[in-house]
Amino acid sequence: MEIITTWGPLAITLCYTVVACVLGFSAKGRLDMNRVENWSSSGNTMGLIVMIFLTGAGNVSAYTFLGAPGWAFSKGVASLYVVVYLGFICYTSYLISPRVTRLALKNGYRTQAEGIGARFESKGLRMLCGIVGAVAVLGNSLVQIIGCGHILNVMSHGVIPMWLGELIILCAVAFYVYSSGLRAIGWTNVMQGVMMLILSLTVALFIMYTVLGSFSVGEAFSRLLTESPEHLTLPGAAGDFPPIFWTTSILISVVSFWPQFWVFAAGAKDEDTVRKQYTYVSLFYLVMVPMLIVGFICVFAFGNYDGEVDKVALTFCLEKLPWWMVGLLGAGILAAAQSSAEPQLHTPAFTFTHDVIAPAKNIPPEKEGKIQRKVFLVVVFAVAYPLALTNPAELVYILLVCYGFIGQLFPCMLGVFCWPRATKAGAIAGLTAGVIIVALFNFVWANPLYVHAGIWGLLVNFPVFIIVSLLTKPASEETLRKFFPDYIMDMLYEE
Amino acid sequence: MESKKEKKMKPWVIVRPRKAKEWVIFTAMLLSLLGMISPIVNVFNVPRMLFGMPVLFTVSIISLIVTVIVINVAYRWKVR
Repeated sequence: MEIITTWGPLAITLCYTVVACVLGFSAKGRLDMNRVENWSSSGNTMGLIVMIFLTGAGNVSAYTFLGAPGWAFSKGVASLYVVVYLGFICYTSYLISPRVTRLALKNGYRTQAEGIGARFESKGLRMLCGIVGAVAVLGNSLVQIIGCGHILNVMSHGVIPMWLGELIILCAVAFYVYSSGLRAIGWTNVMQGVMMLILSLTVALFIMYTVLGSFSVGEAFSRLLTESPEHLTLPGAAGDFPPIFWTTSILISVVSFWPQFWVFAAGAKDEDTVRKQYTYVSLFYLVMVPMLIVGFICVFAFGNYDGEVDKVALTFCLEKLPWWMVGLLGAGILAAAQSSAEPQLHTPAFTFTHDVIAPAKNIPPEKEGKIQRKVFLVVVFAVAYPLALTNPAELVYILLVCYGFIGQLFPCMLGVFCWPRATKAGAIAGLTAGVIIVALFNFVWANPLYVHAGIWGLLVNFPVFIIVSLLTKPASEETLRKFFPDYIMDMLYEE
Repeated sequence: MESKKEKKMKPWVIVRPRKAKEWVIFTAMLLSLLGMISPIVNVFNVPRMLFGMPVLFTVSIISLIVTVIVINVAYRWKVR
């Protein structure tokens, strides 16, 4: 019996991984995955349900189950900024994503960098955006890979070291994404999303009942109010998350349109499917709330914990829950991490091949498919894995840094969809200036005055983008007609 | 031979809301966002309870529900 209670959770977690591999592998059906449009965009076959989970589960990652409860434990309500911005990201996506689908179906622009490059008539800008996007998304994937390492490490009581846990899960993800591309990501995300919803709620209820003897959320917070009121307000228990950092972290996240969002939208059946998914996706983000409550309960019920903050909820559950539920929780967290890691590893490989290697070496589309899948393996094992081994920071912080970089593409996106006068020179100058500022304000002088580095970047990026655009020659009318509606084009030129 | 005259582009033509329903949705999106950031968020940043949860916690959940409502109205009104 002791063997079952000790190793049962790990066995359940690993069983889930096998099921995900089988489901992901079989997702390709009869599609030829050596064709670029099938592996990268599922041949535009994804319907509403798959799209909802692709976006919802894709955005809810390891930080939901590990990082966010960890922040609730160490900082308090500051951790809620994630819930807030995930809701508001749906506004941006509702407005932009259907336009991306239209462009992909009409003109075949399957990556963000390709769309931006075509709009600004610049191969160089396409490559620059491809590199910025791929690096930021890869950075974000580290959150998931490290999260996977944490899970197997904790589940195995330290027998599986972090490096091995990360390697096992990366091999599994690489296996089915290599085989079935975006279709595997969509199918596995549906399963992973359902698991997350059920498990986060069940685990939170179980923990509440075990610790408090009731299901009363009010009782949990009343106790927190008595024992640690600083957890209930900003700047939080650690005193490092004032309202201005809350504000700027939300703002930079809301304007960040990630490269994988473009890839998702480009793989949809039609515009209406994409638009309709956002009428439901926000609800999925409620999945975060129960795990945040677990993090808050840890403050008074597990106050003597002095390990890594990201592992607090998982370690607490390991002590309090029955073995089979711990196993299911491990599988749920792994599902959350994998559902985000898949597109975050797929998109950099796709965009790096499609927007950097192919234009630089003039590789024809029919040969690109095979190269993409090989680049995917290089990205996973030669770039993402070694970087994850360095374990650079807490999960939520890694995420915040990545948002700073990806947010610098926002003016370019406005140039693609809103402002025809934006020019190639303006976009390149603004993006370059923004990225330099974000790098400086992340790695040299972190978030000066508690304003997020990404917002500092935009404060420089936007004026440079506008001024340089107004001083340089705009794109041709023929190009602009692909991106802007007729009513805009009819009033764009002086008589 | 007369050379073709290049057309001059107006600098401030932008894609923006035009119809009343589009303005309503745009305003609702903006107000809901502004309600969750400084300085308004300071109103909710107090160590008190609302519906059994810290005020900021409850308001954050409400903001998520508000986004669902706004996007659903936008979809039904065919605001693109």
